[in-house]
This record gives sequence, structure tokens and C-alpha cells, in this order.
Amino acid sequence: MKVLAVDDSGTMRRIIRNQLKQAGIEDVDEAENGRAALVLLGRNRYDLLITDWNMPEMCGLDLVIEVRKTEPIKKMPILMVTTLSAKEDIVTALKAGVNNYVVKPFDAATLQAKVSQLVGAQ
Amino acid sequence: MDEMKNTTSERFITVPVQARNEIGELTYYLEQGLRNIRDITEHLRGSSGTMPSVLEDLRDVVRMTEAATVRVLEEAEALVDDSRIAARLIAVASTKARAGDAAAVAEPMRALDALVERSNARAMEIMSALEFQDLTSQKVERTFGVLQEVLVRLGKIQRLVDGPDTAGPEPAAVVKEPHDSEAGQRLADELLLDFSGGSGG
Repeated sequence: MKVLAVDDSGTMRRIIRNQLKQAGIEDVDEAENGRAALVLLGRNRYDLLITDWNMPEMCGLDLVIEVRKTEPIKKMPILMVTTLSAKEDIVTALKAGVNNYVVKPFDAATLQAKVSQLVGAQ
Repeated sequence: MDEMKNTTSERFITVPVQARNEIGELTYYLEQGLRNIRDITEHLRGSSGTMPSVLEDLRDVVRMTEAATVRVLEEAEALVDDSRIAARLIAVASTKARAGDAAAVAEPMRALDALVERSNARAMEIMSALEFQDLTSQKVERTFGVLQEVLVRLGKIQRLVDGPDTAGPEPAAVVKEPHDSEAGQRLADELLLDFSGGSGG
């Protein structure tokens, strides 16, 4: 299984990578914003996209919108990991096509449970 | 000489043309001054309204940093204790192995296995605690934004006082307020159920 983790914080990318590794997922690529993620998505095949919302250059929401209208990645599972936890934010993300949502700060069990839900739903 | 209508009494009084112009000019400057005072009050109100949220963000940074530090310290101390226990278990296992008691080696090895598992969980806990860096940096960034906004407002007040040619910085972008993560996660899970009909995907 190959995962793309997108977050402008290097610390968060590293935490996500380590928590996925703990769950047995070792093949993880990283991108620091939506634009860099789209480049990687164009080059490689990923089974799961994990993305932050607030990022410079291209935010996570725009990345989700872009992915959902791009063949052949439009149906890939997307997990949003963000500090934004207001109802309108979550609804906006879900309407944009996010499959699951994790609010920061989170623990390893929460992330691993969400990832297994998404991967199991494929 | 010219005539000017007194609107309150509907009577006509006579004033010199020069005085009339001066009164008009004076009225203009008084109105301009009142407008400036209203603008200054508006800018001051805006700044004083945003400052409490900045102070709360900075208090959050202190709280989160302290909480993360305590979590990391506790887990690190426990890891040190675990490593001492592991050293003792290894010594016991070595002694039993040297004595040729293979069955007795199994017990300390099982305890070691559990200890490794526990240490792994402690390492993950330390990593999770380090999420505070991302969260506090967002709060500090927001504080920068608000301070920049205050700076712009001060610039506008300065321009109102010193004249329109006074330079000032551009307004800062507004960043949304984050919420309590546990409550937020519960809300997200509920909304997900509504959206997916409980499929979890």
C-alpha cells in the first residue's frame, strides 16, 4: 500500500509517517502543499491521500477538489487531517469529496482506525 | 455684502461675503475633523476587539508547550525505567541460559517482549505529543496576522492625523479559529455518518 501525506509542517508529516509505519504501512511519500502533491499524484499511483487543509500555495481543500475532477485519481480515498473543526468546515470538506476527517491533535489509534476504514472500504 | 438665510428662525441676517466663506471653510474642517475622529474610533475599536483573541492564542501556546513537555518528559522517564527493567530481565535470562534451564528463560523473555511493546507505545506517545509544534506554530502565525492588522490600523490612524501621504503596511489575511480537537472529532464522525449513511468511507 502506497500513501501520500500532504502537510506544510515537516513535524506533522514525520508524525503521520511514523504512525502509518506503526500500522505496517511503510511506503509513504510526502508533499508540503497541494501543488507539490498534484505533481506526485501525476507521477505515481497511491492507494490513499492524507492531506492537511491550511497550506501555502495550494490548500488541502483545493487539492481535494482538483483530485475529484482528475482522471484516473478522482476516486482515490482521501483523509483530511486538520485543526479546522467547525461544522461548516467539516461539511465543506465532505462536500468537496473528502472520505474521512481527523481533527488535530490526534493520537495514533485515531489515525490508524481512519486509515483502515478507508482502505477497507476500497 | 450678501444675505444668508437663517434656517431655524426663517429670518434673514446679513453677513459679509468674506465671513460667509470663512464660516463655510470652518464648517468643512469641523466636519472633516469629526469624520477623522469617527474613523480613529473605528480603528481603535477593531484593534481592541482582536487583542483578546491574540492574548488567548499566546496563552494556548504556553499551555500546549507545557502540556507537551510534561507528556514527553513522563514518557522519556518511563522509557529510562523500562530500559533498567529490560537490563535486569536480560541478566536473569542469561543466568538461566548459562545454567541450562531453558524453560526458565521463557519467563523473562515474555516479560521482555511485553516491555518492548510498551516502549514502542511510549515512543508513539512522544511522537503524538510533538504535534504541538504544528498547532502552536499556527497560533503564532495567527498572532503575527493580528499584530500586522493592528499595525495597519495604527498606520491608518497616523494617516488621519498626519495626512494622506503617510505610508502604511497592507492589511493581513484573516485566519480561522481552530476548535477543541476531541469535540471536533466527534462532530466530524457524526457528520461523516450523515454523509455516508454509516459506511465509514
